[in-house]
Amino acid sequence: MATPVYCEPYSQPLPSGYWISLSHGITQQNYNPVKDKIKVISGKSLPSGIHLQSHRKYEEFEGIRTDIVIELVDEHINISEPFGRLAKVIEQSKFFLDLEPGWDEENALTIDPEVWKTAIKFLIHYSIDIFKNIDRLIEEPEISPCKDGTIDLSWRTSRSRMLINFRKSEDGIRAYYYGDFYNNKQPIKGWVNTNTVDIYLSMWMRNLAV
Amino acid sequence: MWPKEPIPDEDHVYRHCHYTDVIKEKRLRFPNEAHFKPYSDGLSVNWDKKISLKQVFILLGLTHKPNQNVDFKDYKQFQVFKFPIKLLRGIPGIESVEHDPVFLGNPSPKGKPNNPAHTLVKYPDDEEIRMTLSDYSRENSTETYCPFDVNSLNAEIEELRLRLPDVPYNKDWIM
Repeated sequence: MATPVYCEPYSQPLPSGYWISLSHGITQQNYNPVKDKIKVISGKSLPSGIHLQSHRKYEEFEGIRTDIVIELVDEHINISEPFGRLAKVIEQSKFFLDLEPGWDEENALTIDPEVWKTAIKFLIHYSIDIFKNIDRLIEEPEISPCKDGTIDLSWRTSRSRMLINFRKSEDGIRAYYYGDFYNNKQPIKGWVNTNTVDIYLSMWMRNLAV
Repeated sequence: MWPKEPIPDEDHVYRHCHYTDVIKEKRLRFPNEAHFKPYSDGLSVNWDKKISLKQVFILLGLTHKPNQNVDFKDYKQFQVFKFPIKLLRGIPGIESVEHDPVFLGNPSPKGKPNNPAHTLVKYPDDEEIRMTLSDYSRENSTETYCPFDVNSLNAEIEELRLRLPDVPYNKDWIM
């Protein structure tokens, strides 16, 4: 492998757990340090649709392009164009954080920023994981604020549906989910911690792909 | 003042839904799953035998916002949906649909009207139940959605607010 050439803004190793999509055709020769934001390691081009999970794997390839920055309260995540529509849906949900107590004219609580951030990161990580595995995007969910201060993600595709609610528990924020192929056919139900991608849930969520 | 009565399966309950929880899709209107998050005592609804659609909106208009003694709820921010009791009782996980009339005095305090129709649907905070309720509303939108011209109530609600608590809604509901 060629000696890595580090370029801004990724002159430092990426934090573990960040998912970044690779773009096709970026090489050391055509790299644009302003536009492309890549770390060049070799002169080879990349096949499209390859996605990386960690800095270690990231170093195995020669280029990265991140086009979209999603601000998440006190941090940000970079994603690339295939997830542009997802980014738009996420952006539209940011007003939840401005909702005041009683926003439903009744007893609704404010939305906990930590819960919102966790729900959005979960959505991004699972979307990328699924895209990485099957090369297809899942549909963008409806993101809704709940009156108890929690967040819902819901999907309805032509063949399946799923609802995930993010709420605090004694050991952190959990994702409680229910999904099926309508009429309770082959249902899936339970909860997962939100600090990792759960393989079983991610595999089921492939059914939400377009 | 009002005894609890058994609610027959054949009846319906009204559920008022804030606009933030209403989805509009292909001219259909239905509440999303978030709307069906239950409070600790359940989901408040109104038994249609004891209240009319118009009165549901008036009741909202005569009720103060939570923890406030001045501002009334904006009844124009709500839409109302109607659910068959039989359906609710048939959903696995829904524990009960019980008449729970509210009587706070004669008259009751300003902003806190009595409600002989109040009913509680009790169920746990469960994604499957919430999805079932939302999907029923979606698939049966023409039956569940209760269109109503709320602006036709403006003058009446304004007049009632000026008379509070000396109105039937804060007393015995004998109109």
